[in-house]
Amino acid sequence: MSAQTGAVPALEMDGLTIRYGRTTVVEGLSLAVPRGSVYALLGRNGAGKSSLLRVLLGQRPAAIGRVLLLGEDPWKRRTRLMARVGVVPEEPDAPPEMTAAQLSAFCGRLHARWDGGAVAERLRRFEVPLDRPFGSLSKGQRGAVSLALSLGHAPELLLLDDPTLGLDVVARDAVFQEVIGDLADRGTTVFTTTHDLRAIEGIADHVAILHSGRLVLAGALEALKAERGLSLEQIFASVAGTRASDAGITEVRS
Amino acid sequence: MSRLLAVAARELRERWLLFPGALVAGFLPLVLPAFGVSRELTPTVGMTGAALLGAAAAVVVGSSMLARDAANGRLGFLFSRPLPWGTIWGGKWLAAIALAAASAFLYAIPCMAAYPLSSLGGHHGTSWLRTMLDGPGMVTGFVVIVLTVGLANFGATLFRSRSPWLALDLVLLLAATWATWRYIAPLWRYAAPLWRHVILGRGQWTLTLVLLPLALGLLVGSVVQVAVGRTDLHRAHRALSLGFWAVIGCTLAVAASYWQWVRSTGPDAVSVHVVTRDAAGRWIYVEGTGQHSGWYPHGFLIDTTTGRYLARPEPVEELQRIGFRMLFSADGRFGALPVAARGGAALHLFDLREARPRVTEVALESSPPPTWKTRFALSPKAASVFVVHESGASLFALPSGRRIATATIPPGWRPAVARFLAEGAARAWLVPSADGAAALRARAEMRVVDLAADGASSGTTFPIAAAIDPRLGWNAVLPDADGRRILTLDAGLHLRDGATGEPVASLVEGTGAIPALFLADGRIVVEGRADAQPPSAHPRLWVFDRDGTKLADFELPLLPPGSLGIGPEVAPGRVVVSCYRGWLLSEDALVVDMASGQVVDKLLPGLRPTFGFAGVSSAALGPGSSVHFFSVDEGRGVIHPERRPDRVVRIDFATGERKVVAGPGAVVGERLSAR
Amino acid sequence: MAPPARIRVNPALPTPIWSQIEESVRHLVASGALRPGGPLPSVRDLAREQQINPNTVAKAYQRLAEAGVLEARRGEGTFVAERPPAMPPAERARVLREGATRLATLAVNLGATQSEAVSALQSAWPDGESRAKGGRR
Repeated sequence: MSAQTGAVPALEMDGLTIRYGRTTVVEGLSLAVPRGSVYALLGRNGAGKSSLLRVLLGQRPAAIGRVLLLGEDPWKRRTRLMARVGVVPEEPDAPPEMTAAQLSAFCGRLHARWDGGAVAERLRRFEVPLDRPFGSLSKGQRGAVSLALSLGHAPELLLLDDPTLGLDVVARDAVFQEVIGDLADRGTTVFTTTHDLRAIEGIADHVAILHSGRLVLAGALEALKAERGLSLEQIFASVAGTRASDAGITEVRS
Repeated sequence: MSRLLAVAARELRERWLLFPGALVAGFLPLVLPAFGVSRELTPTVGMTGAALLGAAAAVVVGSSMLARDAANGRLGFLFSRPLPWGTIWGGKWLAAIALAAASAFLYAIPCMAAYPLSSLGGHHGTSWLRTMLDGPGMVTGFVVIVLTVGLANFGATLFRSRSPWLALDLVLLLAATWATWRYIAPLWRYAAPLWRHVILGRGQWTLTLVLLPLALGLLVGSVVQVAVGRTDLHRAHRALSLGFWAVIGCTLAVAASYWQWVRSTGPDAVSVHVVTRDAAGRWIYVEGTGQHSGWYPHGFLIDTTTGRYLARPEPVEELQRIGFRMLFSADGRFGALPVAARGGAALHLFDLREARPRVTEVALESSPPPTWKTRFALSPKAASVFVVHESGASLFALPSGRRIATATIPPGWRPAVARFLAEGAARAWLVPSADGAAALRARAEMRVVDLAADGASSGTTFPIAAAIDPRLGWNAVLPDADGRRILTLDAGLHLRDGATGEPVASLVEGTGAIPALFLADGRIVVEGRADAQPPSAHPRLWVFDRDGTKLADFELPLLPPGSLGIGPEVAPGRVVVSCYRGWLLSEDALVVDMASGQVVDKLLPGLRPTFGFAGVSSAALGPGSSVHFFSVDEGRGVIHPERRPDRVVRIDFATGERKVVAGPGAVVGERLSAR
Repeated sequence: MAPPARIRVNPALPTPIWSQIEESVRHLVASGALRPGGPLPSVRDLAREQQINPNTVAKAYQRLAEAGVLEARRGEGTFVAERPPAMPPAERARVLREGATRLATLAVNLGATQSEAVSALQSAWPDGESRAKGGRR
């Protein structure tokens, strides 16, 4: 499966500036996530990623700049878009008193199409018990449930916010394998924010690096590595380690 | 719809413990008798507890459903699903209301089962369920639940957002409180009864009506909170505030504009039910109610020659249900309106000499607040005012309000008429007070009290023929223009000396009200009655001279039955005689010449002379005034039971000019503002 | 050097991953670890196992299929081609030159002369033949 060229990008930002209180989360962010790609937004672990995610999901309007999710404004078209988008937030947000089975049933009532069997199968692969309350699961299991729930309606776009934060290697691998499997089966577009460079290096085909809220590097990962002859970690260190703010935007297309 | 129910079901599932908890707690009131609490109190305790538990549940859900869930990500979970914000809002509110109502109901079940409503004494009804499910109770309960949930949500959002927007909320709260005190409270006193009783039909909707804008504001605020604020607490707080205060602001604006509209009503838009006039017929004071302003007592001072008018100044304190009518000085230069102010009596003094009357408030020194039993009189040049209470009579100087003379009145008397005989001399006639035990010992006597500006006072009690019918209390005494002679209604109509009460002549025998009038030249006109008069006989007029000698006996060409009204004297020796026959039949107003007994003119049916009512004895009309005022029924149809006069017509009998000066159809001039 | 027994990639290397896969597959086929007609792991499985993007795997497989090393059968998966393709002369010359360059580098590092290297090659020829033929069988 190859990325569809010429189709509307799965996610598009144009001059997006987000402020939360006095902090500027992102400033003048412009990027485009091609359909079917795995796009990694890299940056130091800091405040504001959840603000960005809220804007992408249409829970907060973009005051300055534009966001297009699957070609539409998420603030205005949130209900329609959420049927085609899956979300795995950094902090699992499901109601703690519900079990995984109840959550799947609940989500099934909220979506028009829901594959409860696939969700159960994913949870089995993750070895998550279906009848224990969500709040009593470990962090890794909660993340697994969130991921399984986010894929139950076969979304076209999957948004992940630091999916491997706080997970051990085994759990991390399980998450990525699940994502890859879905990617392979359905050509889902994946957009993830992360700071775990080593893990994402094999999967991502596009990266964008944020430094102090500004985009300092963006492009096809393969081309970037070929051009510089460096690994992703090395590229990141060279770019994000720059203190001067005049590390301008470098866009390299494949 | 199923998505909405799914959201609601999840909310309920999270708090499911409230259901069994409420039911178990509901048994608590039943065990109270074991601790010595009276069994009769138990149902009350039970129902109160149910209400409190419902409120507590509403607070618990209201504070968590949006504010807490926004903070812990649960709201984000819902917003990440294809749920319209309306579904999220609706599901949460539905769960909140259901939870509050169900908790209260479950708590009440053991009590209801143990104490069936029919077994309790009193008129509560036959079944708990039926009582609870009646219309107003349910609506009020619903509004209270919405209010509690909404307030809990507002409070929790305020608390969790920690946004500086809170300062604005407090400022708006202060502003709204002030506006409510200024605009809603007066509406409540005057206009609200109209809404409560006429439009909504029941007094028990009052509470609901007051709470409704608040509940609606909180509801609308939460809608904006979910639609616009979504998962961001800062924005949610802002959205909630804006939505809430917009609704409250609109409500206050509507109330304020209604209040302004009420106050800006002119005399042509009121139904007049009180009219007093000055001696010359130029100024009148009317009071009435507007069609859409409830019971707000509009009061206007109208210059009937030009149509310009002045609205009565806003009363300082709560108006008595029976207001006071304006007094006019005999020289026509001043008008005085008694009011209750600052715990005492005061006068609004109107200087009528100028094109725009100047109003001064004059507090009467150490005078108790007036009641419907107080009588006022204004001296001919408005230099002093005579105030008679049950306990004493006083003269106050104007415009200072200083007390210049007092006379005490022994207990058991009530003033009927107060009058100035001359500039510095006032006289009051009192009848036995008809309250309580005194009525049982109804005394056949009256009292006269004289008070002079130099402080000299005297009081005389004199016997009368029979105890005065308490129902006629204020009509029992009719003085002439000088106050030197009076007519008393004591088992008939008797002419007496005004100062001593000595009988001069007995004019008519019989009981009940007997209409009578002193003419300008001293003659007396009364409705004639003979004991043997058959009921089908035409009404008769008897004319007497100053000493009580019968001069004439006329038969009026009016069909019986009817009750007569005699007066005013519209030209020397010519009197208007009105005949009221009750609400099914018409009324007549004739002008009769007292020398010949001939009917010289017939006025339009429905015209009634505007005599002074209780509370104020205006200066007697001097001779020579050809202007007289009549009130007119609107003629809503003969079926209407309350034929209250609502329009005032001014007729100049010298020129024949007629015009409507107050009430519907009046030609009003410029509205003046008081200086 | 012994060829890797399985397809392995190292994402941290500058070499594109698809190229690494391609290289790896070629070596496995050349070494006989992957027999002609034998199956290759599916795109999905390989991607999951190595935690790499399936598109990358698909790209590598596609290039190998175009080069004739692999053949894709609809509904069944990807397999090693029955007859490894004949390498075009230019390609053969290039690969030979690559191998020769390695030998030359090794010889220079060891301090041997060109004629020593040539004679080593000549003596090793029979061994290479037998190995290649044995692998093909």
